[in-house]
Amino acid sequence: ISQHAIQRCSQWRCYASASSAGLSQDKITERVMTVIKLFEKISAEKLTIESHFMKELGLDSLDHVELLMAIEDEFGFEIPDQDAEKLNKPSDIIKYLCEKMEVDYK
Amino acid sequence: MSASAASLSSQRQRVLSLYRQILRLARQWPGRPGVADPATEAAYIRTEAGTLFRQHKSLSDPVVIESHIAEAESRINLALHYNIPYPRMPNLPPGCLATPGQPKRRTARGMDDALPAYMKSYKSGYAPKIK
Repeated sequence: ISQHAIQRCSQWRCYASASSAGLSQDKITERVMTVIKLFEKISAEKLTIESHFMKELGLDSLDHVELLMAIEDEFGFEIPDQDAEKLNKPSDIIKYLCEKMEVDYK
Repeated sequence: MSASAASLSSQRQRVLSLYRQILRLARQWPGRPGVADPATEAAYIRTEAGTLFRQHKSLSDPVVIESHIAEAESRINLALHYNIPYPRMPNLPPGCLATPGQPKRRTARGMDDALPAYMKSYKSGYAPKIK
């Protein structure tokens, strides 16, 4: 079996499971923004998808760790340390989750 | 603590991954059935870690930070070994309590010196208020 065929099969399988599980970029965005809004150290007025956690929303690095733990709890898998330090905006988190859960990201 | 543009300094990375490790511990804390409620102890772990890490967040001397990292690692290992998240209180050394005629400041220093490294944050002058 050629590599290309294997890749196409696995992509087709994963796409089917992601969409049948009801996952789409919009749903992921909605869940991420809900988790972030519920985080009590962030004021909802200043929050946008592109707002930077440390520079605009005033979180320190410990708050950032706690926020990513809340995201892990919501989506059910662990985010390793070297990935975590790059997720500085909600849009970064949404893009990362889309990649990890094999949902199309636009 | 300086942070370069692309990545965090390695000491800072270790501190943050320690904090993450402690929070992950709290998530799966088993408690002691019949003796201790896992939810209460998990909440205690989160509060204590948050308080102590934030109390020392503006330290800049790498040697002092290193000793606090060692303190955190000891506390984690003790909690895992005994399944008890609370600080392990040490005994007073003999001759430490004030007797008539003994100056009081030796008592305070004796008690402080008796505290092991993993109780560094609880020495007099540091005492955090944890509810």
